[in-house]
Amino acid sequence: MTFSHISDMHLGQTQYGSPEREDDMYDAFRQAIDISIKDHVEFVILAGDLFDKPKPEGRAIVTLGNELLRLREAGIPAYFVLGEHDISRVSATPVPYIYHNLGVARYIGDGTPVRNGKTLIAGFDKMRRDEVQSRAGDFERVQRIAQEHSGPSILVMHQGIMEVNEIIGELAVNDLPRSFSYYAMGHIHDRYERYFEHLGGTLAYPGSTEAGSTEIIRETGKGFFQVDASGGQVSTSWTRLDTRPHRSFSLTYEELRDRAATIASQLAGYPKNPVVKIKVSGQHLDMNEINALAGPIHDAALYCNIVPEQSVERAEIITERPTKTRDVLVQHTKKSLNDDALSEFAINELLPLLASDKTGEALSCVMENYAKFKSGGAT
Amino acid sequence: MSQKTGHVIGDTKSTTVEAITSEPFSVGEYVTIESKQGAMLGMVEESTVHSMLLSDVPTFSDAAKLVELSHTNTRDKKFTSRISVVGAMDIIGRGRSEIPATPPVPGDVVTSAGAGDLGPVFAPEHGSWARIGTLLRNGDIPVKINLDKVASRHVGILAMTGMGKSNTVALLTREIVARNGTVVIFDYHDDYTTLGIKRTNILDAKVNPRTLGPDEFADMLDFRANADKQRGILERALTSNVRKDGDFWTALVEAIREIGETERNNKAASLRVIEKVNTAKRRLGGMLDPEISDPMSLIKVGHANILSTSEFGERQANAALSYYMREILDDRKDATVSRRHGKASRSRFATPVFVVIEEAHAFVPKGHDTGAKYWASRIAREGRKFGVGLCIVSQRPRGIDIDILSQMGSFAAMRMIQADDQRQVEAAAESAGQALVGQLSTLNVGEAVITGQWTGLDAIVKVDEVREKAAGADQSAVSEWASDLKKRRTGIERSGDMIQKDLLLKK
Repeated sequence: MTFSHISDMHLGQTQYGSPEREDDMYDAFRQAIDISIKDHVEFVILAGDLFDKPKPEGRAIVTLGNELLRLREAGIPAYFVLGEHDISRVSATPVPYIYHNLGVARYIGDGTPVRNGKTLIAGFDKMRRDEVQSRAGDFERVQRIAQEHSGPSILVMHQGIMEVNEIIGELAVNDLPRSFSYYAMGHIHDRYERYFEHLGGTLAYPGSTEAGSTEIIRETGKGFFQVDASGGQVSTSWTRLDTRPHRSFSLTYEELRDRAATIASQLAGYPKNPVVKIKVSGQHLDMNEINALAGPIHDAALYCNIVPEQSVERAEIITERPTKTRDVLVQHTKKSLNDDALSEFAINELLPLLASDKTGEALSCVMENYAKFKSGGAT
Repeated sequence: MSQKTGHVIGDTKSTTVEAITSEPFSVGEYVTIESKQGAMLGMVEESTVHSMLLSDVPTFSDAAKLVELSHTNTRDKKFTSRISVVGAMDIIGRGRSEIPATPPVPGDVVTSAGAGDLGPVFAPEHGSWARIGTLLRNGDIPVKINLDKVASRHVGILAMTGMGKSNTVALLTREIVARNGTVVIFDYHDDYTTLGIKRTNILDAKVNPRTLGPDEFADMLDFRANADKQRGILERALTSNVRKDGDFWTALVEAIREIGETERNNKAASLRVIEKVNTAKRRLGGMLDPEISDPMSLIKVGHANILSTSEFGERQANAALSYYMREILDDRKDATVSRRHGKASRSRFATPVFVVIEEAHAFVPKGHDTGAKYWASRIAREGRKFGVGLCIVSQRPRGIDIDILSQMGSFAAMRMIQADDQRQVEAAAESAGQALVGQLSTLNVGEAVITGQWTGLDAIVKVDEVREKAAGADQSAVSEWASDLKKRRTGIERSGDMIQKDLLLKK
C-alpha cells in the first residue's frame, strides 16, 4: 500500500508579482498529481496550506478542483487538513470545504479518524501555539483509537515541531499522540524525515512543492513523499519535482564585473528562466553601476535580486574625551585623505568657510587651489 | 508605666547599678535614676524575678504547696534589674553621653523614663535626622537617625532573612531620596524592584567591556580565580587598540587568536579563552555592551537607583559591583578635589552618594579577595573624605570581612540566632554592649538594635514599616501559577474558532 504525502502547495501565490511564478505553483502540484496517478498510489494526503490565502483567486480554486477531479477519476481518494494559510483570521467558511462537499476530497481536520481500506487516517487542522496544551484530550482520544487499530495508521497535522525547528515549533514530539505508523506533517517548507522511538513511527515533512515567499532564494529541491506502509515498517521515497531553478551567487564587485556574462549564458541554458540572487560585496558600492554590470543576468533571469554588502572600514571608538579635539580632527582627516598638504588645506582653509556658510568663497577657494595644482603648484 | 518604681541597691559603679523594683522592668527599657548629682539615664540590661519559696524546692509534692504559698504571699517575689548607666540626663539632652564621675548612691529612686526625658535624646529636631521607628520598650518615643552620619560613616544592616533588612534599607533610601540624595542599590535578588518609592530608577547593571580592568573582565567572563594562564592571555589581548576598535568583540578574539598562534604553549589556553569570550558575549550580550558610552550616566542624581544584577552570576556581579564602585568613588574624588581647588568639575555626582551592597557576605567575603571587596574597602576607608556612604547588608555577618565591617560607623542589627553571627556583630560594633548583642536572639520581625554614630544612644527600636515596599518580596508561587493559568486560558484564540463548519456536509 503506497500513498502520496504532499503539503504546502500555496496555490495562488504570485511571487515577485509574476504570472509565471503563479503558474509555477500550479505546475508543481500538477506534477505531483501526475506522478501519483501514474504510480497508482492508494490515496493522497494534503497536509495543509493548500492555498496561499484564505480567500484564494478563482484560478487557484479551479486548479485544485481540476486536480482533485483527476484523482477521483483515477479512483484515488484525497484527504486534507487546513493550514494557517487556509484559515481566515476572522471566523469564515474555509474555501477547501467545497471539495469535501462535492466529493472530490475528504476533510479530516476535525480530529475524527477515517478509514481507507485497512489504513486509519486521523488529522487535525493547524493549532496555534497557545491552544496546543488544551488539546491534550483530543490527542489522547486519537492515540487510543490508533492503539486499537491493527493496520497502518497515519496522523496528518500542519504544525511546526520543536525538534525540527525550534523557532517555528509549536509543540514537541512529546506532545504528539503516540502509536501512529506515520506522521504526515505540513508547515515546514524544508524536507525532513526521522523515526522517533517515543512515537513509534516516522515523522516527515515533504516540504513545499514550490519555493514560498518566506523562503530565501537558494538552490534546494522541492518535492513530495511516496510512502509505503504495507509492511510493518513504513518506508518513504521522496520524489523531486521539476521546478523553476533557483540560483544564488556570492560575488565581489570585481568578480561580478568579470563573470556577469558567463553567469548570464549559464542561466540562459535552463529551460525555464531561473530565479537568481546575487550578493555583491565590496567597498563604496554604487547600485546603479552594479545594476548596469548585472544587466545580462537580469535579462537571463525571471527575477534577479541583488543584495549589496557594503564592507565598511572599521570605525574607532574613543572611550575618553580627548583633551584637544582639534588634534583628533587633524589626525582623522590625514588618515582619511592620506595626504598631509591636502588635509591642511581642508582644515585650515576650507572648513572655516564652509562652517560659516560661505559656500561661494569656499568654491572659489577650491577652484584657486585646483588651478594651482594644474599649473604644477603645491597641492 | 510611671507606676513602676525602684531603688538602687548593693554596690554601685559608674557604669552599672543594680535596682530592686516594684514590678519587673523590661530589658531594653530606659529608666531615670534620680541622683543627688542630677538625673541619670540608664537602660535595663537584665531583669530578674526571684522567689524565695520556689528557689530551693525539695520534692515535687512540696512544690504544689509552695506554689500556692508563693501565689498568696506578695512578699515572696523579688524583682531586680541590672541597669547600665548611659549618662547624665542634662548632657545627653545635648546629644552626648558621658558616664558620671561618681556612681549613683544606693537608695536612689529608679523610674521608667518618660517622653519628656527621652524625646530630645532619640528624636532631635534637626533636618539631618530622620525617623526610623519607635523605642521598643517605651513605645511612645520616636527614634531618629542622623543621615549625615549614614552618608559619611557607613552603615551595616545585619539580620537573618525575613527579619526586616530590606525594609530598613527601603526606609533609609526613602529618607535620603526625600532629601534629594542619591542612592545606588546593588540588587542581586531583585528585592527592590517593587520598592515603589517616589523617584525610583530601576535599571539593569550594564558594563562597557572596553572600560573594564583585565581582572574585572576576566571575572565577567567567569574565569576561575586560579586560571592564571587564561587571565594572562586576556590581559595581554586587551590592548588599547582592541579597546578602541569599532568592533570590540571581533578585535578581541583576533588578538587572543594571534597570541595563540604565535606562542605555541599558549595555544590550547587561548582557544579556551576565545570560547569563554564567545559564551559571555552570547549570555551577557545585554549587560556587557561595548557600544554603551557611559553606563554610569544611567544613574540618576537624587533618585533611588536600583541596579539589578540578578541576571549575573556571582562572579560577574562581583565584577560589575567593582566597576560601579570604582567609578562612583573616582567620580566623587574628582568632584571633591575640583571643589577644593575651586574648579568646575565634569563629575556626574556633585553631591554625596549612598551605595548599598546587598548579600554583602558574597561580595565582601571573609577569607578571599574579590574586586568588589577591594573597592568596598576603599569606600569604607576613604568614602568619608569624598562623600560616598556605604551600606552593607547581609544575613550572614560571620561571612563578611571583619576589617570592612568594623569600618561601619553605625549598625542596625535584627534578629540573629547564630552565636557566630552575634560575636561578629559584637566585634565589629564596638559601641554595642554585650548585653545589647545578647538581645539579638530575642527580637521579633521589624525590631532592631540601633547602635553607633547615627543615633544619640543605643536603642532597641521597632522599625517603621515602609508601606511603599510591597510586603514580602518573596514571590507567591501558588498565586503566580494560578494567575498564569487564568491568563493563558483567557488569552487563547483557537484556530478552530475561525472555521465555520455549518456548511460542511456530513460524510
